[in-house]
Amino acid sequence: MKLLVSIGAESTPHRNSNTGWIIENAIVTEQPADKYILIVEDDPRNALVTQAMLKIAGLTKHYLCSAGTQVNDTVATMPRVDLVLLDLQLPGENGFEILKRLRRDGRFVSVPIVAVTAQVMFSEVKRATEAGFDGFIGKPFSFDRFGSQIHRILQGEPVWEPR
Amino acid sequence: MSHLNKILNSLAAIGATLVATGLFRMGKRAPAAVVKPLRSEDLLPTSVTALTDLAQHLAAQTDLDGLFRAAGEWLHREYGIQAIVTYRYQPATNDLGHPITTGPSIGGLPLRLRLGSSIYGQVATTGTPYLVESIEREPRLQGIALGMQSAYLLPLGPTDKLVGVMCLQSVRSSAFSQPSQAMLRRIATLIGTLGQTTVRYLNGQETIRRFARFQQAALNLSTRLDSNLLLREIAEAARDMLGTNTSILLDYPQEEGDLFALAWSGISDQTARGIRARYREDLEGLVAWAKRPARSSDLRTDQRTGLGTQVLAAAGMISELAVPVLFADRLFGVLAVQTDVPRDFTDEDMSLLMALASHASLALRNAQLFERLDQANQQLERTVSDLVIANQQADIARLSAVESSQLKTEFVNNMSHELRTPLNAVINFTRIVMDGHAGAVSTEQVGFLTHVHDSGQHLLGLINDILDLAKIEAGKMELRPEPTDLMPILKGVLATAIGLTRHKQLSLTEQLDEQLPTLVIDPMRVRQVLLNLLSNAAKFTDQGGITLKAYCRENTVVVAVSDTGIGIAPEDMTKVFEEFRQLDGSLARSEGGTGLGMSISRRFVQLHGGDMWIESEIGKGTTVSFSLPIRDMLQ
Repeated sequence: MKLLVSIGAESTPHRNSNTGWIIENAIVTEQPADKYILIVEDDPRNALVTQAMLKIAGLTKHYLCSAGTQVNDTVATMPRVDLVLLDLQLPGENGFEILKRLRRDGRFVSVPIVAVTAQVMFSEVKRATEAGFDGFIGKPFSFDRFGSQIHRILQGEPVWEPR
Repeated sequence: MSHLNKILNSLAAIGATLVATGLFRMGKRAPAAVVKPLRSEDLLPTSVTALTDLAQHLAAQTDLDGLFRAAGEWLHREYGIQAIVTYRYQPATNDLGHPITTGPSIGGLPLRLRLGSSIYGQVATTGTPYLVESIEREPRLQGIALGMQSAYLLPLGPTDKLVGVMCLQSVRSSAFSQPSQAMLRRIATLIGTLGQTTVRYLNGQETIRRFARFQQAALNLSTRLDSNLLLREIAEAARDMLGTNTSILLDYPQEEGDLFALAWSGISDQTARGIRARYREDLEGLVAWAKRPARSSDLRTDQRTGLGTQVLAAAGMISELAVPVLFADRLFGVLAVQTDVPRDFTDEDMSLLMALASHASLALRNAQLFERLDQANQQLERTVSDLVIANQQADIARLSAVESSQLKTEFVNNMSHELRTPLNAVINFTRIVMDGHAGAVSTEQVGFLTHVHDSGQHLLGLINDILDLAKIEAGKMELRPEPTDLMPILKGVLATAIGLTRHKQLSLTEQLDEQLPTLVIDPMRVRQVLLNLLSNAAKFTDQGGITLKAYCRENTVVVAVSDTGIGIAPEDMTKVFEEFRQLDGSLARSEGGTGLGMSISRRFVQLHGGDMWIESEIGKGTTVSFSLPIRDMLQ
C-alpha cells in the first residue's frame, strides 16, 4: 500500500513513467477541495455526472472543456492544474493527441493526466499505458469507488481501473 | 525360281509342239506354201519371239485379271481370235466369276457361273476342253460375242489347281483345227501354270496381308484399353483379315443366357441390334456352349440358324464362321464373320479367327481390369478432389468464421462503447439522487431508483459478458497470466459472497487447502469465474448454504463451489454451458443473470488450460468445479 497523503504543492514528486507517482517527502498543506481539475469531455451528461461525483468526493474546483481546441483557453482561466481527466474519444483531436500536446507543454510535465473512457478493452488500456497516461478510469464510473480513485491519483497512486 | 522354270518348260513344250506340227519357222510367219496349213484360216503363232513375248507378258502379271487380259490380248493379236472370255475360278465360293473379255464387248455376260449348270462349269469340273463347232447348235453356251460362229473352251490348269476357264470365239464356224486345238491347249496349260503361280503368289500375298492385319490387330488390341475401341477393332480386324462382308462380336453377358451383338462391322446398327443367339441352340449359341468354332456354308438352309443368323440371312449373308472368345476357359462371347456369297471357310480361316479371338479375349480382360482400376482411380480422384473441395470450403468457412467473429468483436466493441457512455450517466445520476446528494428522496423513490440502478447494472453486466464472449470467439481474448497465490483471491470472493448470501441467510463454508501452490493465472479472470459461480449458487439456493473448496489433484488445483439449491436435471446438464441459455428463465431473469456467465466462465478456465464440470442432483444441489493446471514457474 502506498502512503495515503495529500500532495503538497511544494512537494517534489518523482514521476515514474510506468507506475505513475511515487511520493517522497510529501507535506500535507492543502485539502482536496483546493485541487484544480481539468475535465475534457464532449458528452454534456457525462461531464455533468463527472462534476457531480467529484463534488460528492469533495473536489469542487473543476474546469470543463469539450474539445482539444478549448484546452488552452480553459487552462488559462485556471490558477493551476492538479489533475486532468481526459476523455479519449473526442471530436477532432482525440485524447491521445491531446496528451501528446500537453506533455510537450511545460505546465503539464508533472501533472497527472488520466484517461477517462468507455472504451474498456485491454488493448485500449495498454495503448493508454504506452502513450504515457498516469491512470485509466473506465465508464461507467463506479459510484462507490470513483472518489477513492480520484484521491488515490491525486496522491500519486497509479489507478488503472477500466471496469 | 521354280516359277521361271515352269515358264521355260512350258515354252519348251510349246516350241516342241510347233516344231512337231511343222507350224514353226524361224523368223517369219510360215507361208502357206512351205508349211501346209491345216486350214487356210488356221490360227497359228507367228514366231518363237512372239511366244517368248507371251510368256514374258504373262509372267509380268501379278494378278489373275492381268494375266487373263494379257493372255486374251496376245491370242487376239497373234492368232487373230476375235473374242475371248475368261472366267476366274473362285475357290471361296466354288464357282466361276469375274469374267475378262477381249474383243467386242458382250452384252448380258453373266458375272458368275455355277459349276454344275454351264458349259464353262463342265469344262472346269472335268478339266477337259470343249469344242463348239457351231454356236448356233449349242444354245447352252453363255458369254458369246455377237456374230461368233465357233468356240473352243479350255480349262486353265488341271482340275485340282484350276484357275479359270477360257472361251475362244471365232467368227467362222469350225475355226479350231486339231493342231491349233493342241497348241491352244498347250497355251492354256501355260496360262494355267502361270495362273497357279499367280494364285499362289496372291495367296501368299493374302496370307501376308492377313498376318500383317493380324499383327496390327494384335498390336492395337494390346495397346488399347478403352473397351469400345477394342470391340470395334476386334470386329474390324476379323472382317479385314478374312475378307468377309460382315463381322459380329457377340456378348455373352449371362451364364447360359442369350448372346447379343456387342460390336460389328459391315452391318447396319439396326440389323446388328436385332441379332440374338440362343445359348446352345443357335449356331453362335452352340459355339458358346461347346466353346468350339463352327462353320455354316449356307445360313439359309442351316438347321442351326436362330434369330441371330436369321437376321443375318435376311440381310443377305450366306456363309458364316464363328469362333468362341475365351479367356482361361471363361467365355467372353463369340466372334463371327459372314459373307454374302457362299464360302467354305478353310481351316486356315478358322485358325486365324481363333488366334484373333484369343488376342481379343486377352485384350478385353485387360480392358476390364484396367477399367476397374480406372474406376477405382477415378473414385479415388473424386474422393481426393471432394476432400480438397471440402477442405477449401472448410478453409473458407473457417476464414469467414474468423472474419465474421472479428467483425462481431468489432461491432460488440463499438456497441460496448456506445452503451457505456449513456450508462455512465444513467447509473451514476441514479446513485446521486438515490443516495440523497441531490436532495431528500422518499423510500418509495429510493425503491424505484434502485430498480433503475440495478437495470443499468444488469445492462452493464450483459455488455461486459458479450464483450468477453465475442473476444473469446474471435480468439482475441488475451489472458494476462502472472504468478498468483489463489488464497487471497478465494478469500476476496468469499467476502463478496457474504453480501450475496446474507439476505437469504445461507451458510457460507470454506474448505481451502492451505498448501495451494502458486499458479500462473490471470487473477482478474479467475476472480470473475469464482464470482460467477458463487453468485449462481446464491441465486439458485434458498435453504442450506454454499461451500467453497480448493484442493490439489494431480497436476491441477481444483476449485469447487457447492450449493444445496434446486439442482439441475441430467438432461439439462449440457445446456448449462450454452450461451444465453437459462434453465429457469423467470428465476434467472429475476436474479439478473445474463445467460452468458457459465459459458464465459468455462471458456476462461479452458483458456487457462483447465476444465470445468458439473455434478448435480435435482432438489439436492449442485457442485461446479474447475481445474487450473499447476505450471512450472520457469516455463
